[in-house]
Amino acid sequence: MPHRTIHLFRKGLRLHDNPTLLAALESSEVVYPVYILDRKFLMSAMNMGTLRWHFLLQSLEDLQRNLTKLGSCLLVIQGEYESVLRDRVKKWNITQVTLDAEIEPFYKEMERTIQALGGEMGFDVLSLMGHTLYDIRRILDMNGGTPPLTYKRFLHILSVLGDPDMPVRNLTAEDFQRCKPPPELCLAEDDRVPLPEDLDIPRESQSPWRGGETEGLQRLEQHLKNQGWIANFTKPRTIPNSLLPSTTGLSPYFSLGCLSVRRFFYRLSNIYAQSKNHSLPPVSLQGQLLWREFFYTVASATPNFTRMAGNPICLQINWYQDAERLYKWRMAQTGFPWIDAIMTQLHQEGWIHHLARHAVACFLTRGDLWISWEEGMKVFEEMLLDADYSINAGNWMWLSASAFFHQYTRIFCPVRFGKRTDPEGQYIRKYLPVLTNFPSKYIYEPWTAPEEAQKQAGCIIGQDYPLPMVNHKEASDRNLQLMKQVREEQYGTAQLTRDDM
Amino acid sequence: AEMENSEHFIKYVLQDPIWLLMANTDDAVMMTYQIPSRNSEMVLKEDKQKLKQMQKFQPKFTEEQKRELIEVHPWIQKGGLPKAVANSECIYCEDNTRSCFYTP
Ligand SMILES: [Zn+2]
Repeated sequence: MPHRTIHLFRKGLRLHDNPTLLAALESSEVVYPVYILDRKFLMSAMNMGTLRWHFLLQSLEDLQRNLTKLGSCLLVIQGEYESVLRDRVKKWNITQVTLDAEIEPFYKEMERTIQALGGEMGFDVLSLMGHTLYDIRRILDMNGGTPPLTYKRFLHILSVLGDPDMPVRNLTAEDFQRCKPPPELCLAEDDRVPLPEDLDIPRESQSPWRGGETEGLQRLEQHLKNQGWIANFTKPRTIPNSLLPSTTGLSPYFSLGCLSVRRFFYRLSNIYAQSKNHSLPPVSLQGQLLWREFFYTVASATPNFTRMAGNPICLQINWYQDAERLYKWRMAQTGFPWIDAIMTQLHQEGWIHHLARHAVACFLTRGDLWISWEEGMKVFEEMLLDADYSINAGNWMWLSASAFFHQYTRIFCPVRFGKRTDPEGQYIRKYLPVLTNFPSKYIYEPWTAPEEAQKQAGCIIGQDYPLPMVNHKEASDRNLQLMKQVREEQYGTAQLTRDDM
Repeated sequence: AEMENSEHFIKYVLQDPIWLLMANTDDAVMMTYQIPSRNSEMVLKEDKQKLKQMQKFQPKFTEEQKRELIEVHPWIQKGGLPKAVANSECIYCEDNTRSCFYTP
């Protein structure tokens, strides 16, 4: 007997390469596409800032439009997910709930709750993996049930597994025709996507990113064209090391599942296979997807992955606790224009270049302030559109030299690094207008400018723009020593060596 | 009832993290605060003591995991610390990484 199904969107806000939704349509006589906007759940599970809310609401609107085009609709229901589900299952005589399987503890917990509800109310639950290239449970199995510690081992396992599954077929209007929810339900006004102001969120946003599958797919194609990887398009000139979000930036779409990573992976594979004359995408582009996969695998099986305490793969370090210092970093008031410009871009746009992430993470943790990576992770979680449980925590552990994925003994210089890539300080001028008129000579270290020059630039340091909050040379020298001590102490526990047990 | 309301407020309204309440954030602090210079030796000494207390919480790995780590970080086995660890490149930044780091 065909099912009467609720397809519950959580991440995976897309219609292309959506194995769970496909399975729902193929096994049902009616499918109700539902997004439960459970603010209490979302706020307790993740720390979502304004820009992320905008991105989510835009993605839902896009999904609603695309479903409507295919003759179905998206019902966005506000409330606690358990009671909403209970209510609708009864009302619509539901026999099956489908949802993407996710690895985050809060989503796993939600799935368990739904399973239990299914047992109680008598509906089936079907969940399939759609968010990663592989079913990462297979990767874990191949490694004896534990996550690999190194990327090298991880790649080895993948080489045994072979290529990821192909994306599933596209959904068509016929698929949805057969499973259409009652039209009066789709026409009802009460299950629309709320406006930002309905959720007490400011309406305006300066972010250049717009959420949604449509935008994500367009960006994907545009990205491939821009890079000159598709025949008949020449590669536009780009400024090397540009930190402006023109060159990359599919990550926000991957993180909400507006874009399928498998789609991207195979799109790249096709290009490699067909290409003759034009330039090729770097193999590392697929590598980025695999690195993402690595973090997902490790995060899925590591307890307390987003914390230091109780995290079995995280170096235990006595980071300092200091609210003022953290606040200044967060509010782009460190007095280092390079760092502050990056933090400002993060606030305004919700995206920063990966190199920029290195710079500010290093400054906050092992480089200058010696503040825990957990604090930085929370700030990124709030503001980054591509914030993601696994990748965000994994990156922070890595950038703060707390994990074993990589080693770091080097420290970013908040002055010299930026200067080398952007000597005129254009990036700084864009995001810190207060420094616009500063001569290039001083723009990375404005506190060294003579008083006369500061007056002329209309910006007195210590009054209009902060003094540098830390002596970088002193702090970074010391922190490098601290890091060595951490390693030595850890080595001293004799846990890492093979034969001195 | 008032208590309930404020809890409700904290739960549902977007808010700054709790630690912000503790930060002393007036204008003067924002514009002129500088971390005071400290005696490096003292800092390192204090730090070492704290680290000693944390020792038993450091990651512990199985034999199999150690082998996996040693394959990538051979210096672990030799017992010392590397003078300079060859930086595996960041896969996101690629070409940039080698040129962009600065060792103080
Ligand atoms: Zn990087």
